[in-house]
Amino acid sequence: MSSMSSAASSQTSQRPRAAAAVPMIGGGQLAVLLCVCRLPPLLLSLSGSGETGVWTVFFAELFRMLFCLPLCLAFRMGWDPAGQRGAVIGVARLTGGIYLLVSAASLAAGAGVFISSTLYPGSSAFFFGAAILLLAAYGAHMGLEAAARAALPVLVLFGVLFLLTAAGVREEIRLFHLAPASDFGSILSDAFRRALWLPEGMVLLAAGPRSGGRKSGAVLWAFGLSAVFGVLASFLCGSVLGELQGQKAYPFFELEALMQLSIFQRMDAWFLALWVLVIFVRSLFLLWAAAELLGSLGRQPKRRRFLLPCLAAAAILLMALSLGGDIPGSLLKGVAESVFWLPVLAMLLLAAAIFSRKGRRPR
Amino acid sequence: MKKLGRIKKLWLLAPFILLLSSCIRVSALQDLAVVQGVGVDYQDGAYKLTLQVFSAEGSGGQTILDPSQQNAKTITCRGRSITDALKETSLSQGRSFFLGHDRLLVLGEGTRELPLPELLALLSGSLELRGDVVVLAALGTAEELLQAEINQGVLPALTIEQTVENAARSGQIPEIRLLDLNRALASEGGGAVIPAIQAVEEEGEEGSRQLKTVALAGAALYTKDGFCTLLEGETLMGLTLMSGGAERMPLTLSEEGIGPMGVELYQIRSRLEPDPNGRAAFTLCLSVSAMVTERAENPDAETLEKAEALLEKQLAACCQKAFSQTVAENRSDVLGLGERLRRSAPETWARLRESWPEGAEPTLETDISVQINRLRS
Amino acid sequence: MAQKEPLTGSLSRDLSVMEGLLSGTADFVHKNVEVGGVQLCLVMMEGMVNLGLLAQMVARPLLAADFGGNASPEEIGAFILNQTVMAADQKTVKTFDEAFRFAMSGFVVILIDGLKEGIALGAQGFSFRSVSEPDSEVNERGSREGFTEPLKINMTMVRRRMKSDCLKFESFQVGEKSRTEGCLVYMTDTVSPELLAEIRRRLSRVKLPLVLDTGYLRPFLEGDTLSPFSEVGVTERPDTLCAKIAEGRVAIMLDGTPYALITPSLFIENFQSFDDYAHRPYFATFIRFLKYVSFLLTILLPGTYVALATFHPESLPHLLLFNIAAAEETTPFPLMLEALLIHFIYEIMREAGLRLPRPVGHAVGIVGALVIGDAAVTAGLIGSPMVMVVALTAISSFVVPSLYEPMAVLRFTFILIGGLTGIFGIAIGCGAILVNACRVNNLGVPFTAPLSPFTFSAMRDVLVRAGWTVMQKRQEKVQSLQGADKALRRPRKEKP
Repeated sequence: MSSMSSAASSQTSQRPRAAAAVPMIGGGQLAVLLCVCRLPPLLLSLSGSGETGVWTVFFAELFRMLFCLPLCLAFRMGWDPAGQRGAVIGVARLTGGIYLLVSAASLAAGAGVFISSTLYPGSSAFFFGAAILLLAAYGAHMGLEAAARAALPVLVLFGVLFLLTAAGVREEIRLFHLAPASDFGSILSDAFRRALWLPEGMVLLAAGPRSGGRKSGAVLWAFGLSAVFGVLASFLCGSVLGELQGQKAYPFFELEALMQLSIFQRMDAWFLALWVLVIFVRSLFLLWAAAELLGSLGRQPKRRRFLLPCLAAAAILLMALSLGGDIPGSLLKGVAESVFWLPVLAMLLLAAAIFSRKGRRPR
Repeated sequence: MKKLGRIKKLWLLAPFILLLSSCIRVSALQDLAVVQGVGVDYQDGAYKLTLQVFSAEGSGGQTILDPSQQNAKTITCRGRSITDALKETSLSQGRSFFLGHDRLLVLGEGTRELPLPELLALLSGSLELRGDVVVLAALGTAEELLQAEINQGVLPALTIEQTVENAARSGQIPEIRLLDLNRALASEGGGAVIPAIQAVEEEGEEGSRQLKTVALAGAALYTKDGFCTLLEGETLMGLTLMSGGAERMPLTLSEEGIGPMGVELYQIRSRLEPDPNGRAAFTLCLSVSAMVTERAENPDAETLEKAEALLEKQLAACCQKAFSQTVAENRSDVLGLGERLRRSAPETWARLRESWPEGAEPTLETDISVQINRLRS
Repeated sequence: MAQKEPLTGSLSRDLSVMEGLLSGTADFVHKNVEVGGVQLCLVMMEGMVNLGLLAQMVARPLLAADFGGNASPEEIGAFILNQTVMAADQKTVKTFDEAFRFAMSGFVVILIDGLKEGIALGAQGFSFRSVSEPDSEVNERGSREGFTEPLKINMTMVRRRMKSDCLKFESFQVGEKSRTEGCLVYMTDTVSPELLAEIRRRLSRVKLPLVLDTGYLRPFLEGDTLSPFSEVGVTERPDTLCAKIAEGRVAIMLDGTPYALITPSLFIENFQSFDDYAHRPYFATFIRFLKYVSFLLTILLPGTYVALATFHPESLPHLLLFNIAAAEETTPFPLMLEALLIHFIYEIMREAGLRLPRPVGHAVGIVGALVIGDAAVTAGLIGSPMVMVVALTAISSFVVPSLYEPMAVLRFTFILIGGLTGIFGIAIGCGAILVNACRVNNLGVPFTAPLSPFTFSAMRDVLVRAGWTVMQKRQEKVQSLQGADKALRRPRKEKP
């Protein structure tokens, strides 16, 4: 018998259990997490063209930031949704969870179509989407801490390659290609409509209680940085591609395929790898947040460990339906598009409910 | 917990099985015909496609590529459309065409009647074909050009591409790539200037043996509807100056009191400024530095001044000629004037858009400054 | 168990019990002597005791002492324990188990007739390998001393380098049958008490019958077993060990092995070597980046090459593509299979070169070069670009030897993934491995720190190797890294 055991037993009362019950991430990590979540739309759904597109992206990020701020203020007031029960919070969790699931499926479907149409012609889009969802579920199972840590190098890599793209297409930039902005009223309404599609708000609802630091600062940084990326991307697409932007399904990827800088040429495969990483990280957070919100509905923690595989399977099924293009798929798309504004409404209602209560953080 | 461990392992196994399920189409290198040049001809209502592909059989050995060997072969195919032509050829040869490394797109003389968007529909939409493919217009057939026996370099298409690039850098012709062409055609009234190239016969080293090679022969002006005219000489020079693509440009001045004087233009900066009052009028601001490269005597200051004035006059004339021949006479907005007007005066553009450029009748003024430096011995 | 029973005090009985328990083993030696009228017996294991030391330090004083012919056992015992210095290491022995343990560790156990306690004197004289340069951590500059098998020698090497009163060796024993001696090494002023307690707790879970190497203890100290990376470092160098424990880590040394464990270990430390701190900063930074690039090359190069050539040939420069196409034109295998085959052959040869006797080992290298480098290409089995890839991968893998195990496995994984799915699979595989590595949080310290979570002050020894004038401004401790558990930062409770 090891002589250590006697020494160890005397330490039992002071035994160090280094990990807390709920893993925590810092405010910086939350900001990185949210920022990476905002990147895939740059590739898959860059809005508008010319100056209109630039302004739309800018205002959309601004609106998203404003939608998330009430939630941040609620957190600052000491609100902890994890321990709360009630109809309002229950509805918010259920709506948010399902919404996140649909978002993850939609992202995977979009990614699958993008990958199969750019560098893998003739291959199945379902395969790519399913692989991303399965591995994202594995990543979500690793926990928020691991995922938040993994997001930082992805963001850094993205930043470097983004700058490389900008440098590589700088000689193609022609300001006169950028169509001037049309009516600002329509830009604002378009930006508002786009901003309502906000899965990051639900991610914030799930991850907020598990992060330290100021959430509002994290939100400002995250949406601010993604606005910078979005505006730059839109500007580059408009000024390089001009009218051609409207004919391209993935204008930013088109730029990346064009870029030439010294030895860096024909880097579309590398950029695809980067985008796959970014999409993987976003899917991971969406699934994690969905599991977190839906898991907290039940009262049996033991069953929660099966939740992630089930969610992944459900997301794959939804993705398959939307790719299939048959009646259930169309119905699904129709339902998703008509109620996409609900989560934002739920968030705002929640924030209002919290403000109306008299609860404050204990001093 | 044991059950969870098993579930975790199954979970990791699932993507692995998915990966092995061959959901992705694989084409080994041996099954690909790497296309280097695409030539499109149109004869008797049918397309004729000529593809210059890399042929490994011609290399000197397994491990190295032998540039002295013929490393290319050409494949021709016919069809009512380009898609049909490609489909036909897949029946007769065992490899699938890979356009990802295509360097050239040559439009034969027979395609001049066809509208460019129709001609380029398949090729522009191909995700394999990259935007930096050099586009050329052949004087003759594209097939003849791609079958020219060029023994310089590894592959003939690469040699032709390098020839065009060098000529563009030295201001002989404006270089155009597929992206530029698509961009121009996407804009209202847009047009393009495509370098013209032809196969020529010249005497080989063996004396009597005739070898075919290629030579640049001006540029072809296109609108969306098709070919307009061939441009050469001063018009081409003016266009090259206005588009700002040239790095240097050699010229000879020969006038009483100055020449003959060889000069080389460098630091060519050009800018097309729209009229601030919103009219369809433009000012070309061209600033050029030049160096005296060849003259019997070292020129004095007065001679240099005269030469500068002469050069300014000549450059202005070239630019005006280029403008009138392209935009004014042939209604081909190769300079992107419409987009500049759209940016500076959106209201004017909204009015003139439908009839651009013939209805708008844009005008051009020039503001050119030249500075000549002496040759340093 | 008879071994747990105390000594009886009757010499003849004790001896017979001991002989019985050892089943008459041939290396059990005992010598009876009479001192002052009292019967003594010197018990030892043959070959483990320094006989010269025994004669000089033990026998001579005993026999020379004048007890007047009528001494009591207690007087003899007191004389040995208190009045002479027969050995630096003196222990009292109360049970048969203790007697065997000390005897088998090279002690001389003196049993005194009439005394229920024996005395163990340290007089080790067994043969051991002399201190030499470590094979696994070769440095250009720095000391040439590496740990050897005896624990005491290793402790001496550490103590010589760290003449601090805060350096502590805490001994323990593992292995129910082997009863291997080990010790925890740490600095009391920098180590976290929580960390120390957790390590003790994990070591207490070791119930193996034999512990012959520190590798046996590694799984018990590690957390997540599904990660390809280990968060327990290994070193053969005393200078490296000293540097690590100065940053708040704990080292575990074991008798019988020159490899010491260090925990918690961070991923980035695999790229740091002692030479970095001896060279000029700019060169050390350059070498550091070389290591990062080599790591990425060795894992990703073969898989990426297969992926690009199979799925994305447009990404390769055209001349390179033509050369590859020409080379692969007549090879019978697809690229992925070629890569797997050639890397597998390389691993076979590497392993063979390790196990073969030295004179024959050189021949393996020559055969390997001929077989892979020349004959296979000439025979048209593989293409020459693949040989270049293998060569570069192989050389790069030796730049970071501590990560060879995960690199070898991940290399094959990425070849498989790249060959089946192209750059998509490689990207998503990298993502999964990144998340997996970020998950590792052994002993409260994130494995990927200080890169993520990011600690700016630690970058002076990660992205660059700052000069010593900068490094001396602040001593980094593992528990002060971003993301480390706050419990680790609690100060050590001072004893009253």
